[in-house]
Amino acid sequence: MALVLRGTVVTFDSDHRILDPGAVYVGDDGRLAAVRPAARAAPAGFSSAPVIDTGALILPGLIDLHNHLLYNTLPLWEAAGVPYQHHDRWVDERRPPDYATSVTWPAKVLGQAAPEALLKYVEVRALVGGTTAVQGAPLSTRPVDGWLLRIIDNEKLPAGADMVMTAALQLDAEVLREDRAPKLDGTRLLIYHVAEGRPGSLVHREFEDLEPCLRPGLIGVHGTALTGADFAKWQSAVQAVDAREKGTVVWSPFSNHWLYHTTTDVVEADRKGLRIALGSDWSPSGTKNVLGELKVADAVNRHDLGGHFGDRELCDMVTAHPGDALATAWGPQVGRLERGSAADLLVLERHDPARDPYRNLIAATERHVRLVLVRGRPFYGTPSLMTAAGARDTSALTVAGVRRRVAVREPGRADATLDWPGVKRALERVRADPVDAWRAAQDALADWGGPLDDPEAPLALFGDMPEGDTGALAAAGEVPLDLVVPRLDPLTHDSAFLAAVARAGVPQLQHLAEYYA
Amino acid sequence: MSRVVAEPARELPDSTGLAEFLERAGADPLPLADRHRLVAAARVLLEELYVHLPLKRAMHATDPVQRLRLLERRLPPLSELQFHAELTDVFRGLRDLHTGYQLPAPYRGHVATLGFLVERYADADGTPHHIVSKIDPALVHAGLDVGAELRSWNGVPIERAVERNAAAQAGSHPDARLARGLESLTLRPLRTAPPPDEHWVLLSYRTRGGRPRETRVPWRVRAAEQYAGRAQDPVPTLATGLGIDVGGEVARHVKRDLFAPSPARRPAARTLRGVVGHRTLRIRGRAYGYLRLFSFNVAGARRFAEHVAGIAARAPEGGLIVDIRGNPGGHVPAAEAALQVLSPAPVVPVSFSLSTSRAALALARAHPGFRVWAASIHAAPETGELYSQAFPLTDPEAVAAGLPRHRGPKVLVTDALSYSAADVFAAGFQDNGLGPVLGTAPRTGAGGANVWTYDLLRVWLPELLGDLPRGAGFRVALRRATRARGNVDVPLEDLGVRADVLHRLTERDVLDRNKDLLAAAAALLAGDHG
Repeated sequence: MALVLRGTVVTFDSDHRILDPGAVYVGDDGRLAAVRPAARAAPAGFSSAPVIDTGALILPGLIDLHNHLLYNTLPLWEAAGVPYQHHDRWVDERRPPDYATSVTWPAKVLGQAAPEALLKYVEVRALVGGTTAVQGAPLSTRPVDGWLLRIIDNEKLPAGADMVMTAALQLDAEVLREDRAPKLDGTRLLIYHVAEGRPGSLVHREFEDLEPCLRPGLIGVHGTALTGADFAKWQSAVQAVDAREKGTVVWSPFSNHWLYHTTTDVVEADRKGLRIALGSDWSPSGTKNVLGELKVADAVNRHDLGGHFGDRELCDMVTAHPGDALATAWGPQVGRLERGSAADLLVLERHDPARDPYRNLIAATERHVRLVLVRGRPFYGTPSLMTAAGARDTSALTVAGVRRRVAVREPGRADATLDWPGVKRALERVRADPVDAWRAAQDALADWGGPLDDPEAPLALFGDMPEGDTGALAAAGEVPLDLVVPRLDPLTHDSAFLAAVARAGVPQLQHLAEYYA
Repeated sequence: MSRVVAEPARELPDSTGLAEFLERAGADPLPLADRHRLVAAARVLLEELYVHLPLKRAMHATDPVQRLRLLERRLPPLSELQFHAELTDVFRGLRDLHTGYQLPAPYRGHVATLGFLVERYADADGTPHHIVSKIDPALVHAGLDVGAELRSWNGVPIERAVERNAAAQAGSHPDARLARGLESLTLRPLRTAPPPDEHWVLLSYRTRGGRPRETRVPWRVRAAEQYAGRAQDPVPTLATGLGIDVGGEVARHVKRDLFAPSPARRPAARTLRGVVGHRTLRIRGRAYGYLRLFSFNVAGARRFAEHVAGIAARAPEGGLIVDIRGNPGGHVPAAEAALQVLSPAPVVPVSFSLSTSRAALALARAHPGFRVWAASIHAAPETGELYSQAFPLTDPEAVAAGLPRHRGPKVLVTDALSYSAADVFAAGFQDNGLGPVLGTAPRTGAGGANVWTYDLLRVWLPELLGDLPRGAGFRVALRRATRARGNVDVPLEDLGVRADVLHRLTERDVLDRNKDLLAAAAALLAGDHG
């Protein structure tokens, strides 16, 4: 339905205007019909639309450009061998808590025994951090196109086509050169993990393999082993194709420091002209949502990078920058509030009136998220704002001690039948007896001899990360009989999470607790 | 002398006339663009992922990729049935029951049947006989009943009719084709081949009492499997560890529906009790266990191994006859785990390798479970290898850990329809010295691969493999199996497992519950003792 939101509108448009008070006009088509000062007249068609005075900041919904959703019910993995040299090392970690037991098996079982519930849980986890688009769809028997928010890998914008290619595992050089590179024709994206490891480690060669793909549309994830010269080469190659374009590097400082005790040289990347976006990465080594990752970026910026980035620039990393990167493939702009852009909105409490909106966003926690709209529809927020925005069929939940409502059930969709308590129950049932749940799921999958795109076909999710040492049983369709699925990772950066961070003792991550004090 | 041609008085229950079915199918033909999509997808599969392509080119002098190129140019004038027949025929030329085109709706999940089965035995002098071994009660008429001996088929002498039908089958060696030819005389899964050309069959036969008769039996179409009210394949779309002849499994299901005891007394086809049977035999005063493995098409290896171990533990001391005749395969890890519990010592599993194509490398990179295969595929442009390094699919010892092992004597009974996972089972039985292999044909069906569906491959190769129309599909041999121990690196495909002892089926076998065959098996077990 058409809707008008009033408040302090932080547009992230090309002039970074802040309209205070301002109004955003949400059209029936899921796009913004107008973004203008509140005093100006409403555009045509909005005379009878409900008006909500939020009394808060109205921002673009946050964009998480690096994740692996299948794993996001799991807690932080406190691996014994940190810091690792590169991404192939921790996969083979066999010391307790080993990788396969801690990460691969639980995610595998949940992804096949409770796929719908798992997806909803991890989407809600992103929503409570103000996220409206997230990258990292699991591999699946049919595309999971996002029940609550946009799943970037599968989002079909603008013409009903999926224009985003992704790879968390490295592709062969020949495939990159002969298949992926030609597809980067200015209409498609490739979100690609590259050079994830310590500087000087052998994963640097992945960047050499990627050279044919250094074109507009490439979004490189991590790049922790890259140097200033590499970033210069990347940006120069992109601009040789289109002088207006920028390469995009996705920065996940928490995960980098957690596994490697180092992170991407984003200052050099910025100096060479690349666009920087943030990604919270998966929960075994990442933050709970990109709002949390923004704090890690802020702390690293202040303590290690000499304050190279201003507050507004940090906020661009979760809004305008990923939005611009996605614009290569997507029609409606995301990450910026302007006429015609997607009505993906975050309403955030101005919890520190003395500071500007950008600092308020950086310092905000899940408590301060008051409403999240995706495609113009309310999915998460305070009870009053959800009601005012016309949300129906919502469930109550408590987030960081405050009451919220979430609309996870989608009438008319056979694959969105659970409400929020149902989501948690389904996941807890698997936890209670994972072996039995796994076997029941395998029976259901074995019973299906029809096409996988049939709406009645069972949905199964598969990991997009390496498996580690699961070989013998995994290939046989079996799971360890003593398998334990950890408790569901809470939705917020709670005391258990911060305690794990403290135990890890990585200096760059210790500042995170200050934001949640 | 002219004879009256009879006809069945009743129709096969739960079936539709072939003409009616075809009329429905023809009312909504595939658009040309969909045909192009199917042929293009077939080319990608065969060129890029089909592991046996070099072998098949050599052994059968076939060039399926060129045939597909030509088919692409000749698509427009083909009728609906011609198109399906042409595409099916390209795959049939591979002589590989794993790898095939799977017709779209409405063929999917249906089977054409005459409502009876024919089995073959030979006299001591080699004279063959073709006997009606099973028939639906609704079709019994004019002496066409169990025991009737067929003489001709649409005017063609029966022996020649079987030969012709065998030649049109995809079995990889003559015995396998003959077995399939015999079965497909009266049973044709429409998912894997187009419908019969003729709408009815004129049969000349002798009744059990010796009277010559003729009858005309119509082809009928019935659903092979229902799920949520819809016809579909009885083989999972999603399984990664399969080695199975889908057509054979469909035939098994239909045979059960038509000829097994009443549904109330019959376990579902894919339950453990539906795929495993057992009883105690008394032969010449001695007791033997008889373990019948109808199929390995089960959901999990561990539960299957547990079930088999439980049965084997209760077998008499005289020994265990393990019978896998007609077993179309299924879950390879289940077959290997079952073998593990039947062996007193750890069994070395067969190994599997991929093609060294670029698509195989892309799959090995994208799918974490293929990680071990990636390095040798990556190296292939320099090493020149056609196949990757070979690794077992799984560790059956780990899967069967803690289960009791059967330590008594055993004999394995095979035929030319024992296929794929059943080939793997037979190879493991022989290579690990579990006991003699008694074959009713010189070799098993010779299907040596792990087979994947197109749908499943798309999960990891979405950029390479596009959508297919109307539930059409393909299955492809993705990883080839090679044997272990004394036969290390010997492929199973096209070669199968050679029987140690050959037993040609007799009339008593066909009509009296395999009496001579089981006596031969018992004799081998007694020899173990002696």
